[in-house]
Amino acid sequence: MSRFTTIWRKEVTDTLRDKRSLMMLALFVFIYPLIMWSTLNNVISKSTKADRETNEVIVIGGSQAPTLMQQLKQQGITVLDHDDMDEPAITALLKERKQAAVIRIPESFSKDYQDLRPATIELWSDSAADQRSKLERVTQVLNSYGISIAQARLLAHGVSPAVLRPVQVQEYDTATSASRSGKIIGAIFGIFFVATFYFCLNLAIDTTAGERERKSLEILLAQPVKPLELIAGKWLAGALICAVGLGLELSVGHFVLKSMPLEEISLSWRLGLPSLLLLIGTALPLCLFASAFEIALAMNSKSFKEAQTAVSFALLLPLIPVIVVPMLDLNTQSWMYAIPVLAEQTLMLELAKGNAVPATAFLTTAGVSLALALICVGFASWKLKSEKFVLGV
Amino acid sequence: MKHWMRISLPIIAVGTQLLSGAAQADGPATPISKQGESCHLPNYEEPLRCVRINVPVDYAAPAGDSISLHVTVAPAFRETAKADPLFVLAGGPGQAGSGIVFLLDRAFKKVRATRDIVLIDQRGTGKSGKLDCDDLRDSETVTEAEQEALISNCLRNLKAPVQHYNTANAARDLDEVRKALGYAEVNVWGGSYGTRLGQAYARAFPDRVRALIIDGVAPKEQLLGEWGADAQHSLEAAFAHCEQDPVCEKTYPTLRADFRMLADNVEAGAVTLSFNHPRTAKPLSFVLPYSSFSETIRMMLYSAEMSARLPFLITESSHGNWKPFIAQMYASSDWSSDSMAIGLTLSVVCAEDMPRITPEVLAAEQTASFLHGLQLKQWPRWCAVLNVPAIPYSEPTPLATPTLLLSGALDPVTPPHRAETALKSLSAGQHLVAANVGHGVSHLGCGPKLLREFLDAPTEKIDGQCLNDIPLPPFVINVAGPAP
Repeated sequence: MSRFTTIWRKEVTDTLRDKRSLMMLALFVFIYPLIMWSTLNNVISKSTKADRETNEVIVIGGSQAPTLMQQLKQQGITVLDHDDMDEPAITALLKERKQAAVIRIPESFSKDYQDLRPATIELWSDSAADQRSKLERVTQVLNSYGISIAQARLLAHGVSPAVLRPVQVQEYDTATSASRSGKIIGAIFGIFFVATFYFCLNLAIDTTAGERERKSLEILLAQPVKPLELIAGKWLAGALICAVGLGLELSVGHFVLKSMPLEEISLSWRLGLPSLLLLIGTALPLCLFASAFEIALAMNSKSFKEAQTAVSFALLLPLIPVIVVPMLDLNTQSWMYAIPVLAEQTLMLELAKGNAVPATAFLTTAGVSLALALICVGFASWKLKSEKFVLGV
Repeated sequence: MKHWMRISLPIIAVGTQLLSGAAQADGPATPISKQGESCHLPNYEEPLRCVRINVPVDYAAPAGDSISLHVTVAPAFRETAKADPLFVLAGGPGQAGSGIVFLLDRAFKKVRATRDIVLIDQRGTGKSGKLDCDDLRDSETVTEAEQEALISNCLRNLKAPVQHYNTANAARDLDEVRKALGYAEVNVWGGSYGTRLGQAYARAFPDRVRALIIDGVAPKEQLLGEWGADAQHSLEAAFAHCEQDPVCEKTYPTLRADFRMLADNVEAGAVTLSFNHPRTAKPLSFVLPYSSFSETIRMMLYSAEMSARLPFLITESSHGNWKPFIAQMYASSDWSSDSMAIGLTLSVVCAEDMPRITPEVLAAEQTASFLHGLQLKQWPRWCAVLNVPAIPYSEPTPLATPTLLLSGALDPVTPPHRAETALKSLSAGQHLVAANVGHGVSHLGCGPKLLREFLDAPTEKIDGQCLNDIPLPPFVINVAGPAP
């Protein structure tokens, strides 16, 4: 057993000496939480500045509807008056994406309004521009403006405004704000686990394909050490680096989310410290799997270069469940706990929602990763037994 | 939409000095998101928590019968919500907290970011054993005398011990709710009559109320039903606004004279209406009672938007076209909204206000306004049926709770001078007035933002200048509606 410990210690020390590997670790620990922080911060500051936020619309012929202009202003929408424009001019203006919309009130508006005919208001927008929420606010104002006029007219005719509403659709949403935010944050957090595969990337390739190419693997094998011990040492060294990285990354992420005023955008981060520790603990086998998987792939390659290619290609695999599953908009199902990365993401999502997670979910998550890790380790040590491989022929 | 404004008749509470029960031992609370059960209420899309809390009917006999109070909780968006929630008290008396959930989005969204919002159905309202008269809403064809009989009959059949349905007991209930939900202290928002209840609660349990927001302030001194002068003032203001508006002035040059003529004709019983019902188109015909005429006008003054229709309505009616007026008269009964619990309205008024109405007050009220003392004539008859004992009045005691008072300058029932009266006994109060607003300010313009600002730092001075940015709605000048 001491031989295995020696190898393990050697690999860890090697990695700690390697500035490039450490940089990569630090990068992944901080970069993603940082990206997440800046994204969310941007959304929050936008929403808290809603009163001052520049939601501008260009209005042509606004003098015909001063009340509408007032109502737009009351909803925090800045009205910019403009002379008449033709279609290319409006299109060009909207392309600049400074304003959410152009409201054009044709000259026929006043007469139609006074004649009680539907008076046209043109609303120009560019649906390719990301201005939907701003545009929604504008249409809301337009709608309520129309409804209040309709009510006044019906009353003037001696008709109850209730006739406008033969059916009242009462919408009920069963999602609490907690479950909604769980979905969004769950997706954001899923990417955290993808990073797991990057933490031990350098170590996995360097200690296998790298050592073989540098011919130092031969020397190692010449020692009285079993292939399994050799692989296990390298594997657990990778897993340790990965575990440290993942633990740090999740903690940084947790404190970032905890410190943000998410309630300003009607979200919340409901994970407590014990749940976080439980989550990190359950995610540790994922590190074992990531490390073993990459070592196995590297061992299966003919050269260092090929190993790099194979492993970086394999890095795309964990992205699939993270990207595809949220798109399918599935409810949480137990099979999800059997797929590494997706399992951890699902677990986190459920915990963030404040749902009770059964113990089997934790066990499945950890168990599947562990089993896959062992298979990969088995494969790698079987590969190492072959002289053909070691000599690189 | 405007239900809250339309049906909030502020009634004045006689807050008898309550015995503050020392509620020391607040056990560790279950998180609010786990209390009660998930529920949906009309006019609100998202799930809320509905909690039932039993309180004694009679606090002098706590072992006796109990009432099950309905409490609606909207948990804060932040998981670690601030420990002090906002209790929301509706108007009336007779309006239920569960009936104004739409205010969650319109007025309390910014507050809810960090605080739980707790809407309480006062005993005798909403889902807390509503003291109701069901058949009143469909009584549009009956005569005034028949309607009187309907109400009297309904009051006679109320099973509840109405003598216990008063402001003092409602305030005690609030503290039971606070205890049951596990809050050490609370903030209180009251609208209209809710301002009376809120002040009564703060006076009875000063240690439990961190801050008080009262919107449409009814001071303890104010008598329900004595509102002629304020209503008249509000009507005059609407006329004056029309005279200052060039288009309105030009369209309705004889507005005041037209109104006087109409009022005189209606009072003389000279107006017979033959029309099709605005909603059902059923042909109807009756002599317009003065009470219906004056009450329709008074109700329109509650919101500036409706006041802006007044000149059109008055002028059309004076030309013999009563259709717009009739449609307005039935407007509030056209929507299937939760109605006032008239049994509770009267159980409070008859015990707390009517005993204080002296012949002098009555005489003055008769001549103070176009209302001619309407409610003060009706209510004593109903009070005789209800027969609740009078609650002795005491002057308001000084209150040091940080308080935000909100008033609309055009309010026909709780105009700014009412808040100024309340301010005399509120040593840490600040009063904000919105120039172009009627009854109820919190949900308009920058109101929601100010609520949050105040609750975050109740002792800081709030700049309410932005409330004056709320514009006066345009007048309806012809059948096409207001200026576009």
